[in-house]
Amino acid sequence: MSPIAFLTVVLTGIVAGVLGALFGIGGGILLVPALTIGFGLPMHQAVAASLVSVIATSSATAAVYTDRGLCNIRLAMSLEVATTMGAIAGGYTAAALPADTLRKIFAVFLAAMGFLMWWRARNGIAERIVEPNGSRIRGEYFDPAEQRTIRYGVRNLPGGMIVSFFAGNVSGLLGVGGGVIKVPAMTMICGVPIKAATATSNLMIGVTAVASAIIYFAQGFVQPYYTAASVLGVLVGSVVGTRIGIRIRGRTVVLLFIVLLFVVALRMVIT
Amino acid sequence: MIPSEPSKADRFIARTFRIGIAICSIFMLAGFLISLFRKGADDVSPAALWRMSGAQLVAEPAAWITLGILVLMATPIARVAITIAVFSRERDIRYTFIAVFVLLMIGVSIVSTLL
Repeated sequence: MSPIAFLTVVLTGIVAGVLGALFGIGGGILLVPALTIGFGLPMHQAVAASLVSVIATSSATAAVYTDRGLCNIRLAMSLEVATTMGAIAGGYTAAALPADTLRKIFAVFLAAMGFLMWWRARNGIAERIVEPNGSRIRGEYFDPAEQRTIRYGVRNLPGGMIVSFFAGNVSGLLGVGGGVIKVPAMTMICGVPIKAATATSNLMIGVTAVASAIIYFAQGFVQPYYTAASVLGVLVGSVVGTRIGIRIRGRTVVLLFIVLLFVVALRMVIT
Repeated sequence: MIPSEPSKADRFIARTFRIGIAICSIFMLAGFLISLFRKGADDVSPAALWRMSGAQLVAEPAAWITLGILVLMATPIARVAITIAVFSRERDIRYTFIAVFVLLMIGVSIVSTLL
């Protein structure tokens, strides 16, 4: 890999990281199509590079959230039982699938993300915080916006675990973090406030991705140079995106991004 | 109202993540910089890494990058190990068991690749 190609992948990673953070979908979703369509990397190697990048970004953001006391470690450990099992299954499924099939599954996932973003922009995520009394898993954090400590409990853990297994499976299969599935699930099924759900999801993503990244490594799908360039780029991009600190809410911009997701999905099917 | 402070364990976990990311980034950047002056292998597997001498390792850009990737992958595993220590110190048997189970799943993933 030439130095110019390395730096181009770093720049692509930065763009993917910034957009992923701004739209709240993570960098992996954009990195895989960029590496396959833009750089001609085989699908399995692109998924592996994205998976390792996801470990980097989740570790960086989890450090910030943990320092702020936002992560619920007991909830994370409970759900990780399911996400790691799902990720191992996803890793082996991906290894067994031909690249063409994996690309088509990724395209379907991209289109599904487009629908999910459209639904979220339309309806939002309803927060129904559970009272901590009586819950086996409880948590609290200080919310600077509300200037008070938010205390909450966790309900329907089995429901959360079922969705977490699916999120882990998607992560291992397609090299994405799966936060787009876990955060709404933790909020709507388990009654966890969005801020705590986002932080806890980030904490879980790293160990989930490692469970399947080991399989990709053993299969020889981790290409060091592309992976390193992706990691460094997405890491910088997600930090910049998070520092910018705004989730884009303008309806037109969100709709344009959804259209972009559909176009990329279509391009992946045609390729 | 006094903001709820992150616990010692939270701070330790955050520090572990930061150290892991820093070491990984340094190794990856070092690999890239060495590759500017020396054309090395396209790929170095973890098994090949073990067999390399110190001098070979220092001169091989892909080895630096692979080491960086391994450090990165070890970081969330270290977090689970720390969590086990924290729960067992708090004598929380239920969550110590759950955290050990998660670590075992990572072990299953590693062992499954050797079969």
